[in-house]
Amino acid sequence: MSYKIAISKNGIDVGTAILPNDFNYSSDYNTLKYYTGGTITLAGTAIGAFTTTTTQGIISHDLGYIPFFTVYMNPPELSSGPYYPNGYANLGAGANDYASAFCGTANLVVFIRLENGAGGGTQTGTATFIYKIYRNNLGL
Amino acid sequence: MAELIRVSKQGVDVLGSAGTVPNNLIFDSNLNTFKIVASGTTTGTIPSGSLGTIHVAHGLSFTPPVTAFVKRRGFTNALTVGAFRFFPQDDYKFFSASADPGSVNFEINNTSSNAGTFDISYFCFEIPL
Amino acid sequence: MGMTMRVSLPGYDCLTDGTIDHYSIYADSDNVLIKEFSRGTINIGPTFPNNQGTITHSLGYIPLAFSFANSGGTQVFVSGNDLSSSFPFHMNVGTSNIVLTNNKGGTITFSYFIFYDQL
Repeated sequence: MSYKIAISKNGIDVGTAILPNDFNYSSDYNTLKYYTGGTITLAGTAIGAFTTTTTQGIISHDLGYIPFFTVYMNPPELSSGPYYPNGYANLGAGANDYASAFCGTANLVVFIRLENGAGGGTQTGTATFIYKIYRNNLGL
Repeated sequence: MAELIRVSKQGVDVLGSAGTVPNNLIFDSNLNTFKIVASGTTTGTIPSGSLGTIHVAHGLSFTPPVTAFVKRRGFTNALTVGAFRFFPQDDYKFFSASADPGSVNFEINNTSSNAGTFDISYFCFEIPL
Repeated sequence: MGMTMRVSLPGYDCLTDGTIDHYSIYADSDNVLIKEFSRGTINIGPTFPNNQGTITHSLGYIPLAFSFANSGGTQVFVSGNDLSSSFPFHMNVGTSNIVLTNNKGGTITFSYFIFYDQL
């Protein structure tokens, strides 16, 4: 006979509940478990026509596997404002800017990428990234 | 008096006022803990310069919320939904993750000049949508 | 002596298993479980300015949040980008609200989940 811990939601009998949504917690189900997080700000400049600049920030996690992660970022062209989950792209008439992230077995990497079009000029951008790294192994 | 279980983060007194703040807790039996009801991995190949969708049956009796991560075979980094990598790196964009009553579906835009094999790790959560 | 709480997943022995990923609770270190603050649905559309919907959370910080758009019976994960022309939805998160955008046209029902856990 196996044992478990289950905590049902208000008004639901834990002895008869069977649906995951009936529980606040059940040890039958895995959960997202986060263990570290933080904030990092990147700045970049692209000068001249058809110039692309990519700036990276590296966060070491040392889990030895690729973990579940979340990254929120604010727009490089605004350097402020709300945060966009996972990726941001602004495709303009003469310039593009991007922010995104990827993760390996040792590091989470965030980046901004500034692209100038034919008009050239100077494009600057700053983005702040808020990240969380979880214990959950992606198995990739 | 209602009973409850709370586990605080390190350095936080679970019996003090700080122990009532959800952000100071690892676990609180009064609050729903978002549960993973199904997870797995799948693989698919997408031709060069193509947008493709990879499907796998989720085996659930409801349409679940799903999120996922993808890694291009032969490279070392994974992306979340809405993220992208440019040439000369992995060179693809993870367009979308979705679920219907039978399967979970992952839309990838392979912007590389080479066909690519993509490994996907997905997580289905508890609440029927 | 410090106290802890461990609850292993089915099939794993919590007295011997050293892999944290085999546990639903492993409170030795800060393996924090995400805790739900609110959930709901909102209908958004069809065209600007009605193609955006705002959900107030008033937490005072940027929380973890997930959203899913119902597009013809398919539930689509909503990120910060609407890269996909099939599913052109995106979201952003602020310290007092989240904003969901429907660029597909028509009226789309979004489900959202906001967590206490501060990013």
